[in-house]
Amino acid sequence: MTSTGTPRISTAVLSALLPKGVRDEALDELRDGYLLRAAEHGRATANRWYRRQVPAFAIRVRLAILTGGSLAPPIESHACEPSLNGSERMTTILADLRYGARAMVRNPVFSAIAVLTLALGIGANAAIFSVVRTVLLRPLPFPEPDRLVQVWESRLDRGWNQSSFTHANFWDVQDMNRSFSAMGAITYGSINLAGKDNPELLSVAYVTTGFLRALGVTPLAGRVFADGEDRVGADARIVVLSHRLWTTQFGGDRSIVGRDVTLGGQAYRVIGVLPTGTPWLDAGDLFMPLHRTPNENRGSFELTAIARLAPGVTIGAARADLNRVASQLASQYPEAKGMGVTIQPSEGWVASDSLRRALWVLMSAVGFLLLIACVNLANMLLARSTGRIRERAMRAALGATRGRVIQTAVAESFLLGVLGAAIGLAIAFGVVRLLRAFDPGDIPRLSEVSIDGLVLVITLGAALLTSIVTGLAPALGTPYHDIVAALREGERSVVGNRRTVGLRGALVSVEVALSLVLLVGAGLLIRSFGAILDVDRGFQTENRVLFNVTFPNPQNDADVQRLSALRTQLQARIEALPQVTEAAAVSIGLLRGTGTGMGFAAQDKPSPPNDAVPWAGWRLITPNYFRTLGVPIIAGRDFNAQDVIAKPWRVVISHRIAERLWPGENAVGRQLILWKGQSEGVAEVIGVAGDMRDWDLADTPSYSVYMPFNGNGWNPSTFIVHTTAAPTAIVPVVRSMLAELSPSSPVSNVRTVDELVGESVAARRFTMLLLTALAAVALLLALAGVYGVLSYSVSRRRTEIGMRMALGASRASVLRLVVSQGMRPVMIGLVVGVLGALGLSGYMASLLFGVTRLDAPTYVGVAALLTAAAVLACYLPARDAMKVDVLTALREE
Amino acid sequence: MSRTALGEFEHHVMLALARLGGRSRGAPIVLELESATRRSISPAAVFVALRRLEQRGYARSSKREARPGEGGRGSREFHITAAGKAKLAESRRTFERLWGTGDPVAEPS
Repeated sequence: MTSTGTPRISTAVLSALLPKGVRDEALDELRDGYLLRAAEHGRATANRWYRRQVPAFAIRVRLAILTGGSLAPPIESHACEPSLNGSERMTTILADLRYGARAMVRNPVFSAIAVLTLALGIGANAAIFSVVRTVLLRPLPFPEPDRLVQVWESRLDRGWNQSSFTHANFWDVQDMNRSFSAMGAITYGSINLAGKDNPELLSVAYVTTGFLRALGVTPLAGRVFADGEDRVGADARIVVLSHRLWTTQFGGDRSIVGRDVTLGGQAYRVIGVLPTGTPWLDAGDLFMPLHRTPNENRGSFELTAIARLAPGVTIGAARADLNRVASQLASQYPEAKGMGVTIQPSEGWVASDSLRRALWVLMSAVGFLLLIACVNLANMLLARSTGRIRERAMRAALGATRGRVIQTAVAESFLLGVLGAAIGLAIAFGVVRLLRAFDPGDIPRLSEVSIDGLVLVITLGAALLTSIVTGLAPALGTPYHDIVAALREGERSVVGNRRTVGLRGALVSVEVALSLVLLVGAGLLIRSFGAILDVDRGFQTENRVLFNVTFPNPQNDADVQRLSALRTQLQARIEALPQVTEAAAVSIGLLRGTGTGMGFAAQDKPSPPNDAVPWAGWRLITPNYFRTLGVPIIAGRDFNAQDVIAKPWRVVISHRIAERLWPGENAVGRQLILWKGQSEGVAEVIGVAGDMRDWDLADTPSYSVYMPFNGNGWNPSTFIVHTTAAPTAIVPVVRSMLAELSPSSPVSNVRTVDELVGESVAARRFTMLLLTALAAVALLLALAGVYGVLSYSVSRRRTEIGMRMALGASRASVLRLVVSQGMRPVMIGLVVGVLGALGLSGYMASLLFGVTRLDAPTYVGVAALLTAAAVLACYLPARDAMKVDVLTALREE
Repeated sequence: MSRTALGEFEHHVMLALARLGGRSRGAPIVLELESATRRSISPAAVFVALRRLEQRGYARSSKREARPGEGGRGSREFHITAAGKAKLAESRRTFERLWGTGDPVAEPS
């Protein structure tokens, strides 16, 4: 370097000032001059000259590039150079990417809107797809899940397709079948865990030894139940911990295996710990063996059964085999008359049908949203590409091949796509976190949802496909065949203009149609949600709180007496509190899912055939249950302290039962057959109470039979307390009362009735909010499309509008002209969208409540909303049109 | 065939390049111009002009290996293209036609 002898500092300064592309050449050039001068006039003169050239050189070269473009030698015409080799192609691609990046920076608003549009579509898709993949598509956490099945009893004579198993039937089916390699049953209960402060109530899953074996569960530590541990007389004091309990209560300590824990006042040996997972593995805090008691009960349906098909056995073959067993049992035992067996694959274990439906609806909705985003992007790029016809024509004229021009156009949309994907993924992460935070509680595996690799790949693919397709379309539309015309007309080109405007209008129609479908879907869900909250629940919710109290499990009749007395005492003490209006206890609280049921009939009427026997839920209640919930006694009386269950049998029935059995007659004093078709007993009706939707707000009001709690050992009891203010404030008071009355009894599941109502509709609210948000974004994108097309077309028609105004058109008529032009594609989209929504809403029918899928107010309201919003989107360009200055517009021509 | 005429400076650069045998690097052109015009010539101006001429097809350049005694690691060497020669000839004819045979600007004596 030094041998060349140019002044070092000046060289460094110049080098820093020169643009990279010409730096070396310029330095060489100057050095040449320097050496020539040094040879002729000596170093001192040459040094002076060199120093003078530094600023001049830097400024001139930069200025030249700024005003006249690059100084690089021209790229050889493609005519002489038929193909580029790999590295040259790479160079042109890089150049095009740089060019695209510059174009994006030059147009920050356009780029931001385009990227955001894409990001919203992609983000929503990635998020919902992640949920769908985790909840619906991820296989069960068991080996060979396709061989797992659920088994139900059926009683076609009573019209039941699926019923839980009775104990005796389950054991017989397990012993007699030839199809399963393992079969198991589960039922639920609860037990107190002695704690330091308050005892804690744990849920228990009682399982037969075949249950975990059928699932194929490998324990995290220790072992699961072994064969024979469900035999009568086997050690009942063993327990397997769920993963949740193991981590929360025992700190994930493996040495817990083999140690004893105190449950319900007795020591249980921990034999193993289960892994995490849904379903079944989270069915209880604890798993205990379900013992094979010599229970000959074939009338009480209590057990949920699952099985693993033996190798080579199909579901069809198993079904035939089990029905053989069932008919054998039916002929052997009178109580099993009409018995059959239903087998279902394990697909539905994680997500219920309605959840599946809801998720697929959401998945389609985000698909629609992505489609709208793509259409919007295409629309924007199309608009801009029309404005760039001159640029592209110029490039073609300078020798760019068609392929190269397309490459340049695609490079920019590719960049948009990559950016959109990146931001979209960030949105997806945010949405997933939000979804998990808003977990409505009954979407399984929601806490496991995360954006995984497949979702990443699919998202990136969707983004690139979207952007490349949308970038390609306008580039292909460039009129290469008529470069001269394009150059001459340039920005104001009519070449392809009409076609482009038509295409953009069609795209707007598509956007409007798609968003209308989404809006109708969201509207139907909103209306359903409103209907379900407005539905006559039958009970009052304000200032009422529910909680469970678990008393010591009764072992004999004396215990049952004690428990009843304890329950009555607690109720009386709570009622005596000044802030309490009424209090009562019930066997199963409101809106708590599944309950107890029985067939019923009137003794004084002809009995219907077995398959027509109606089915009622039953509850044990203390006096004042109805008053506490604000439910009227329509006829007869409520229970009082002297009513004891079965001494004699007396019941209160819901109004619908009275209407069904004794329409238009007085039901009080009649005889009701309980457990019709099962054990059958007769009870006197002493009262008729108002109807309640006490299982599920979306159900019709239930048939309900109420019996006195008094004299029954049902545990735990759900207390309902009606207070004058702040209902949950009562709970600490109750805890301190219990500490006195029954120190080992925990209070659990504290909820106000309002909260219960909220929880029971949480999944609906979740779906509704999501779909509404998606529809709102879709609407926004569609409006952006309407606005974009119209404002573009107005800017194109400035001259025409100017002329019209010069010829005396009023501002109002210009407004009408512009708005009507803008609304044409909107109206077409509305019609198509309504037809589409009518067709597609069928898929949502099962998610609706209180409205039909053809609900006219929804359709009219949505169409009106869209129309109003679109008119607004048209107004802004129309206002610009009215501002057109006649003279300016004409001069532009 | 040409639409745009050469600017004066570009014209000078082309002529200097032609006088140097139709093939030269930038620095000798600067010296040639300085000696012909007796003015100081900015090498940057020559640098830019050569590249613009190349872009318009009147010159072509190639990287050339350095020769001993010349220094430089291979600065760009420019040569006039056929189009460049034609352009120079055309402008010369234009000038000659405009000057004619007499001296249109001679002071009347």
